[in-house]
Amino acid sequence: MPSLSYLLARLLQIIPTFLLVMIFIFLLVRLLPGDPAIAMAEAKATDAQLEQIRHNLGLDQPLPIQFLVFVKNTLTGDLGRSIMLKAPVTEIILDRLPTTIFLALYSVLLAICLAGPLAFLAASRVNGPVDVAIRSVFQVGLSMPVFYIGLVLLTVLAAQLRWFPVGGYGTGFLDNLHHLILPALSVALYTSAIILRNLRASLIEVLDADYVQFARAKGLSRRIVMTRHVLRNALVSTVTLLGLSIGNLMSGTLVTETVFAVPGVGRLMLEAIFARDYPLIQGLTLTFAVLVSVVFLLTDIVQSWLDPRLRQS
Amino acid sequence: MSQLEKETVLEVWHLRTEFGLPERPLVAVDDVSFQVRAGEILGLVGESGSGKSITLRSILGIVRPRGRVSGEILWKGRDLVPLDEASLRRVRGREIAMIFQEPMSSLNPLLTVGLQISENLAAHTELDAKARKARAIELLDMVGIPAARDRLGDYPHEFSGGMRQRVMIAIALASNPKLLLADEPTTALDVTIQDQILRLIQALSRDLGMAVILVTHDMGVVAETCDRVAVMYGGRLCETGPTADVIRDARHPYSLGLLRSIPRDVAPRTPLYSIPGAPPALNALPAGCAFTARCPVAGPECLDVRPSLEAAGRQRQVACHHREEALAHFSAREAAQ
Repeated sequence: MPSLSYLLARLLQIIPTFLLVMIFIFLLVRLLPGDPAIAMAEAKATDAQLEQIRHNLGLDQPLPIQFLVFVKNTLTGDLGRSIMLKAPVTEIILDRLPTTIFLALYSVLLAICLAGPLAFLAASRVNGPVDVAIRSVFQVGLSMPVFYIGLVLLTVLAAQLRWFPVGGYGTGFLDNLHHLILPALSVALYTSAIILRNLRASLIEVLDADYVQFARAKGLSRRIVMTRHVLRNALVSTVTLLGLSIGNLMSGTLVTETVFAVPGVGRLMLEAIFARDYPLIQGLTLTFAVLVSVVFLLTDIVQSWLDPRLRQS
Repeated sequence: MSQLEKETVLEVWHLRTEFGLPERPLVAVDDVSFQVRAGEILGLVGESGSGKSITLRSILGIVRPRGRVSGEILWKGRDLVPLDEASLRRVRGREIAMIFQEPMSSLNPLLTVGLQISENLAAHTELDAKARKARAIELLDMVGIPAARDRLGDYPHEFSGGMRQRVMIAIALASNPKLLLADEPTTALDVTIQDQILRLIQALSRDLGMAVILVTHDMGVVAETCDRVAVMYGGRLCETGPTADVIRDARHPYSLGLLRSIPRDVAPRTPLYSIPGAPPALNALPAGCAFTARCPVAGPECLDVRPSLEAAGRQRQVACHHREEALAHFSAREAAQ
């Protein structure tokens, strides 16, 4: 297991990341053309009223003070009020976030279940008909954009065959699994294509490694050779890739959730952008940054658990 | 008891290992026969690609499934060639153990050395976890790793090259094998460490009564370590015999060339002899003697007629059509220098 000091050191690395993200978001919003006060006020507001709104928002303060206030508010969970939905941003996001996280985990699990066994199958019969077939099918998956896969699945499985709902979100765990299978699958097909390629390549490399030959020469059972020696070593690079693709997948939810009408933070982001709802955009950007950082943190922890050479900080 | 009277533990007869398509096979080991007696160290010498390592891997069946093995490998009278994986696993690591060339890449980088020793014990003995740990410490101690108890939880990258080779030997010795297959165990190590490892293998062979097949390309290593030597070229045996006899009085042009390329007491600035050319590719082996293309005494028949391994004096065998010419050629060279 990774040592406590490694975990702490890795956790501390998150702080500068978040600081940078917050500076970026803060400046981005202030660099955008337009006056948030005008956007928030009614059309016939007077100058005095605008001044009042600016004062309420703290916009009449110098930038460094504004930044400190922004940091303080963020840390206390206050991300401001959404202009579009007229509710606290934190509440809105917390309401929509579980759906997105559920969808993301669902997609990743599907992707792993698809890619894992097939990569093993392909790697154990390199360049045989099975290997070629698996690779070709997934090559197609890789070359199609996620929204296109989504639309095809939607047309065939939902609209024509009526096996699955066209969109929306269910109530309860099983109903959710049923409702979200198409969006999850369309993301999973793409992600699994990436994982499959990588895992197949590392399996082929590891199967040939001296330590696997040595493990066989030791007379270990096939199961131990395959799991303890082959799989574990092959996973080291695949885990990194999986972490990166989960990061990608987060931004992918913008598209998927829109295509399948899933009420998650991805679709909310799109709506917020169209409505120029700055506080909501700001809050969502921060949320995505936190999610991606957490995923990368978990990836690093899993990696250092797998590979002792990475534990020296 | 002299070597002659000890029982033969391993007999290899007409071993042939091929790869690739069955209709166009690449033959890595061809018609190789040799015997190993209990407690004896046999050196298997040759250049890279001569089939030495594949011979070792064929004995344990780990060239399968890509390599196809035929012939007979009699281990204490039982033929290992027809055995399935499950039955072979009871021989591998238990009765016949193997160590590899690269201590850097032959230990699993993700597992502690303690686990890598104890998984061997778990596969071949009835010991419980506590007894396995005690035995692992004993083994590390036996191969000369200081503070063995504290090092069980260390990973391979925390050991030096020589220490890793010791760890590998400890793993191989875990279940008291009767035969150790050592595939170039010292090639990747510093010269001083090489010597330590060879002495260790020698001492273990003597103390545990364990036979060893030592694969190497280094005649110096053979001279220092082995009781008998078998010289391989192009997947075939050229010459076998007691080490001292072969070194003093080699008969095959290849072994003669190999021995001439060792720097001995020659005048300074004399160019060192080297065998001209490069070893043949597996897909371009002649029907006759594999060494023909590089041989200084080859005749027209050498390319087509394979010389068989024939008795040449006490306990010695040579496969060459032109033994006398070879000897004359190399002594003339020697005299000229």
